[in-house]
Amino acid sequence: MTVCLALFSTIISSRYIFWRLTDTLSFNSLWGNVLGGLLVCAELYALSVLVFGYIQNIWPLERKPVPLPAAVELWPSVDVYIPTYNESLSIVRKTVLACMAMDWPDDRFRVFLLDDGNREEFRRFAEEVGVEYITRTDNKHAKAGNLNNAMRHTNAPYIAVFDSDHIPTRAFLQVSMGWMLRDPKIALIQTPHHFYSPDPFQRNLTAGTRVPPEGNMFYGLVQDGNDFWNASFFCGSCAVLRRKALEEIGGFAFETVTEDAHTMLKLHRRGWQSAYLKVPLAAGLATERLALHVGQRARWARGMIQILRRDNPALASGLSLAQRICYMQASGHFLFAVPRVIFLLSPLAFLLLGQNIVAASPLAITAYALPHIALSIAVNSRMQKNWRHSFWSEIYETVLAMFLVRVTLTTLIAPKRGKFNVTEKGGLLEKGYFDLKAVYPNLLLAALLIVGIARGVVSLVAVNNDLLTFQALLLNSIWASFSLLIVMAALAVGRERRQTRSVARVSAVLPVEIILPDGRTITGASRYLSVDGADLLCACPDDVADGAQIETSFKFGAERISLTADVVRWRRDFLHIGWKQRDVADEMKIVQLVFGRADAWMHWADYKSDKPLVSLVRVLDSIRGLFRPPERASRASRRIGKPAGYLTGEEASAHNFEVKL
Amino acid sequence: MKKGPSFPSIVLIASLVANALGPSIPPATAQTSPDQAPPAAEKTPPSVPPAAPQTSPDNNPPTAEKAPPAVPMPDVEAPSNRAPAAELPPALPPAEAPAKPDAPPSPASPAARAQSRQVTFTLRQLGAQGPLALRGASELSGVKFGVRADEVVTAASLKLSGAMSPSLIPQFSNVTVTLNEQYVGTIPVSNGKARFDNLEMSIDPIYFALDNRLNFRFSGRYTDKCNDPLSGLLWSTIADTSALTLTLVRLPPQRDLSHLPLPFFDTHDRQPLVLPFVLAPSPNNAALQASGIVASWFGQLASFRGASFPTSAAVPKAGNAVVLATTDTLPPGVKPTQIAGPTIAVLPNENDASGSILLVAGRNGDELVNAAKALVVGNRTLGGETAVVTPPTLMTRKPYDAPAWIPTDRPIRLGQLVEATDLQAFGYAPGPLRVPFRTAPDLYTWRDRGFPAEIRYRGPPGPIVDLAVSRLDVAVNNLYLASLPLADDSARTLSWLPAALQPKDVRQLLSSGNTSTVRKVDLPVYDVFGQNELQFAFDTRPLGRGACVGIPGDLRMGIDPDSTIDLSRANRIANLPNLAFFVNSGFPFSRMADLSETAVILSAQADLREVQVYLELLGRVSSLTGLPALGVVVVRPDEVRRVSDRDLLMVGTIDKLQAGADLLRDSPFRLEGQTVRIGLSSPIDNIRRSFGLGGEDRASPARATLQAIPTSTFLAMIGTESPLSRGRSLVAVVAGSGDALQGALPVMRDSEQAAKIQGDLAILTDGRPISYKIGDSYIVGTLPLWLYPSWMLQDSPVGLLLVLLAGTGLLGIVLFRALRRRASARKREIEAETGA
Repeated sequence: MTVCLALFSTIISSRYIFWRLTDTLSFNSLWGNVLGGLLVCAELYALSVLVFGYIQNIWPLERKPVPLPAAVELWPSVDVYIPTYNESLSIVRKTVLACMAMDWPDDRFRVFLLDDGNREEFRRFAEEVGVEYITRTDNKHAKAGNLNNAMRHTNAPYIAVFDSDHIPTRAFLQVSMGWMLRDPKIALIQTPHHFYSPDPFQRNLTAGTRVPPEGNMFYGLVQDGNDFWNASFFCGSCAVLRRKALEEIGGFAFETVTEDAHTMLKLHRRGWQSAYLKVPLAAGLATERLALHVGQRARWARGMIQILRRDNPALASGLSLAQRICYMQASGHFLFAVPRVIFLLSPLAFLLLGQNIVAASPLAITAYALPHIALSIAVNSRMQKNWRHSFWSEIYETVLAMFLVRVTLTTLIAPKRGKFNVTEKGGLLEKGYFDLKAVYPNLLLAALLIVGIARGVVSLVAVNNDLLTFQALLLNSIWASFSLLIVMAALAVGRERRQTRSVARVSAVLPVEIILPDGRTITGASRYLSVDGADLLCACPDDVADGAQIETSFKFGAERISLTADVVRWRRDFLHIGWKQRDVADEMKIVQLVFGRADAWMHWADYKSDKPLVSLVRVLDSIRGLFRPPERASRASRRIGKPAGYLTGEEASAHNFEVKL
Repeated sequence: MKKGPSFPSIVLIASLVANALGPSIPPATAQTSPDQAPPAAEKTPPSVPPAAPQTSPDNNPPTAEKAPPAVPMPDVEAPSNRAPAAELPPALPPAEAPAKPDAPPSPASPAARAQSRQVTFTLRQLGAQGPLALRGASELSGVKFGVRADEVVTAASLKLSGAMSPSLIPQFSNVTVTLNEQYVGTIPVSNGKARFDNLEMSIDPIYFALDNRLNFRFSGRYTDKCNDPLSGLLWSTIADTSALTLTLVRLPPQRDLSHLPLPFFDTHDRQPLVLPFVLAPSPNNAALQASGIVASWFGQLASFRGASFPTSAAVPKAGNAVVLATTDTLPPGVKPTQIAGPTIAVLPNENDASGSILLVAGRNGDELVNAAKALVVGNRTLGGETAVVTPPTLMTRKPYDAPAWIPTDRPIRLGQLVEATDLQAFGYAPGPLRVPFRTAPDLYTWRDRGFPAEIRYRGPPGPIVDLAVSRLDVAVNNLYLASLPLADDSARTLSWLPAALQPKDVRQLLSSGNTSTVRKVDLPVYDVFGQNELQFAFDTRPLGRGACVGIPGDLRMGIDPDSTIDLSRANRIANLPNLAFFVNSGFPFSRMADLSETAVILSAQADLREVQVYLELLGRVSSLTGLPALGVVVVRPDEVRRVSDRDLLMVGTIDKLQAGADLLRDSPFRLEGQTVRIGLSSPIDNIRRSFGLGGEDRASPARATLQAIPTSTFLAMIGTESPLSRGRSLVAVVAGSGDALQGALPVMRDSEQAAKIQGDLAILTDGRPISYKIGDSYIVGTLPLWLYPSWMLQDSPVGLLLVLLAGTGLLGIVLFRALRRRASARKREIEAETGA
């Protein structure tokens, strides 16, 4: 059914674009030609994205994990790489500890901390916990160089890579390695990146938590769809690679700033296969604020466009047609900025400049475009189910579009040039504020659109128009209103809400036994866990004072983790505790408990399937949030632990490359 | 032997009047080869045509078909299968008559004088489309008319009505009336009275020629000083009811086969042709076929005038007639010298000295048919009063090659359709230039793409007319298409470029010196029918109009005869039945222009009234195709098996056609008694309708109408698919009585009423057609295979959607399977690796 609908939508949209190309392109002014030409190019781009997207996502493969051989002796050796550059140790240590705790025979499993920052602190930490520490004197080729350097110092046939903030669960290797052993042609097993902290959209938009996070679309649908065509690619982290394959292409690709996708492209060209396992086996920190998000996406856009320019998948040899389409879709996606801006601004050409940039009657435009738009929304909604809700792609793109225009153009023209924007360090936000720097282009856009709509409405009401003008005004006003809607939602993202938790909490319901200082045992369940403490649900005996030290014992599977904690607050059934962290062993246990559980992230796709109208209402709801009165800083909250600034991994890698470029 | 000099037949025309007055020449014998030219021909070389009347080119009327005697008649130039005129020996007497053809006729014989008649034409009858409107900047208007070559004008008068702007100054304002640029009279301005009624003017008959132009030239001033030529105060109107009365004298007839079609048809006569046919009371198939061929020839000649052929068994009391007979069926009063084979002769009408009879005869039916064919094909090679002819060999025609239709395999120059002079315009806003063209109506193009017309035109440059507002309007069939600017083409298309980038100098360097402007216009397919007219109207404005500024006079503009229209995009396919196609184009019969795929079905007892309708139908079809119906055959209802591979045209009264009623067995129509009944719907229709699929019941209203009509005046046209052969058509023109049947042709000729004939049943009683579409459609014609879906779904968006859904569904299933196979292959492949 989906196949038929996608075909149907493709035909209807092709009909539309055919009509646009053949019947609507006659302008008689310079500006009409320029603007109309731009719009039609943008529409061509959108159509190709639509159709390629259908192809890409037509059949998500849904690969299941393969059990490892029963005989443990057959399990191969694996090297785990944790590249870092300038991330703080507090972040990296969690990852290192989680990696060490992965279930794999100890003699065939080594963890390497690849410190490009050459920091003494890191070296000591590595020694302390017993992982290998590799550093180098220069930082040539950034992350790819760092990884390649490590390859020279290690020799296991498989390499697992984790960014410094991606904390794997203990099951990572056992679940993912099965495929490697089963199929010697596979060069890569990629698993999703899951983020346990909210991204700016989730945090800043009223409806943000009710829609799937931005990344779910890519890791839930696109990569799985790619896998069907043997085109899923390396995402830089949470993946296992085959050393033999990497050596064949000369190590990780370093020509672009997105070394990950480029590496896999090279492998695919050599006939290697990739596998994608849609099981979240690691979790990381999302980019925390909009400004950081923009910076990160700018890097991705830059890297992907560099691939387009330097190793264009459409022309590269050795790829199948479907692989070409998938890679083009992946790298071409980041050209979205220019078309997006064109779509947003197009109605203004008529409303403000008086240029009719579609040479057709508004009624004809409606007749041709409406089925095209409605069908593509409907079919996408059907395909994207619970991975992405309708209209949110527009918001995600609009947030970035104005910033990416420059990056896109400079990279397209000169792939080796271009400065990278330095983004601010993140941290706690005591107060919500409006991040003007991150949204000012959209603010301008919104102002323009409002002026345009106002002018359109005034002309509609006040001036006596002929029918055609009336229709044109109406159509363009509606179009501009929709643009405005999206821009407003994008603006709402820039209204940073306060971030009161320094460490994100993870919701997890686990049975817990609490041993009180007097030896009594109370059973309960956990609600939230974090590296600082936990929220538990258990009946309060009246005689326990805040600050008392208790023993907790969490049970999951056959295992049990016992930790000592202080009672922070215990009211009725709600118990709030803070860990007593005495040594690395304790820390490791905490990491194990919070992040290392094999089933920790299985809820990642628990979102309702898309309903376009519901989604639209949520967009409106989010815009309403833009006009909320400012939050007060001192709202009562369950604040845990001490405030501490941290860098996200993504941002850290941004820094990493900024230096190189 | 010495060949006759290659003189054009202008001589023939020019001398006719003169000849008419001179002694007649003994008839030449039949000539099928120039070698047998009579000696008389050599002895009498043609005289140089007398000087044509003075015509000043400046005063050439707009849209004037140049037709003073000195100009070759178009007939001569018409490409045809006829023998070239140059090889004709001139069977003409020495020109002893007065030198000037338009000189007053010398007193003719008393008999001829007795033949004088008086006719009155209104301007509308002479071709005016409405009142003649004269304005300050388009001051000239007029009408064209012809005078028969065998008649001369002895007296003429003009009775004019109309109006003139009351603001004009009488001293400086009037309308001058001219005939062939000779002064006739002046319509003065009468103070305070706008209208003028029945203003009489007599015209000197000496001014008349064969083709004449009656012109009205307006000249006016509304103020002493500065007149704006475009002022709304400068106007005059000549009513189209204004009448021209001519007294005409019949000249003694010139009975010579070389003059054919004279005296039976004269191109100068713009009135409908009425030519009695004389046939045996119940003619046999051969006589019917022969008469059909002859009638269609006259129909073709009569062209737009229309032709009727009153048919009787006896020679008419007066005037001309055509007699078709075999030796045993010669009507009384026709006495040919002898009939020795296929014979064509021009004989005097025994009942009327000035009347002539065209005898087409043979010793048997075959010879009669051959004589008719020879007359139609080879009339240019005949001479004398009687000729025994050999049957001509006929060219096989290709579909759609009718001479009157424009070919659809290549672009056609407008110069091929009309005279170059017809594409010249005079004045600032002259009336439209008209380019009529015909084609078969079954045109279909992919996605209704229009037919490209490349219009080349020339106009005066900027300083003379205001190019910014001057334009050339293009229309087809009175439907406006486009306005083409007179301003320079390339300058306009690049006008949006900044001035610095406009490559003016380059353009001048590259310009070939051909200064005509070229523009492309698409004629919409749905505006192109069987009969069309491409219309060009220049509308220009003088530059610097306003008081006290003289404007350049006698402006000339033109459409280049090298302009083209191109119908080669057309595919030939149509949904039939469609009686409109039949009425307007004779389609589908005219598909083969000589009707060689047509069989006419007449009842075995057909009387002459039915035959007349048959003749007139053929005449009409040939007037539309421009080719006589040389291939037509006539059969009786019991012989239809013989012609099962032809399109069938059934003509007759219903009671006599019962034997042919069976031909309608596949249609919803039944011939019962003296009227048509509509059969009960088929069970399948009923089922379809009960599911709401068959559309509304179209038969009921038609049934009601049919019941209300008295049988004696019942007249109907029916179209349906031939039951004998798929894709062949049957058109039946049937009536309750012979009198009613004769009403068919007048309705078809009346363009307003004819437009109402559509569908597959048209009830023509009262001359006001009511049309229905009741039966099923069938397709005639072919398309490239890939166009059929587009053809089938052209009117059905829902159908298109269904096909699209079904198509995507099917393709989707195929794709789904392929994808599923790939998915499992991908998994199996992996599993195989595991096994290994």
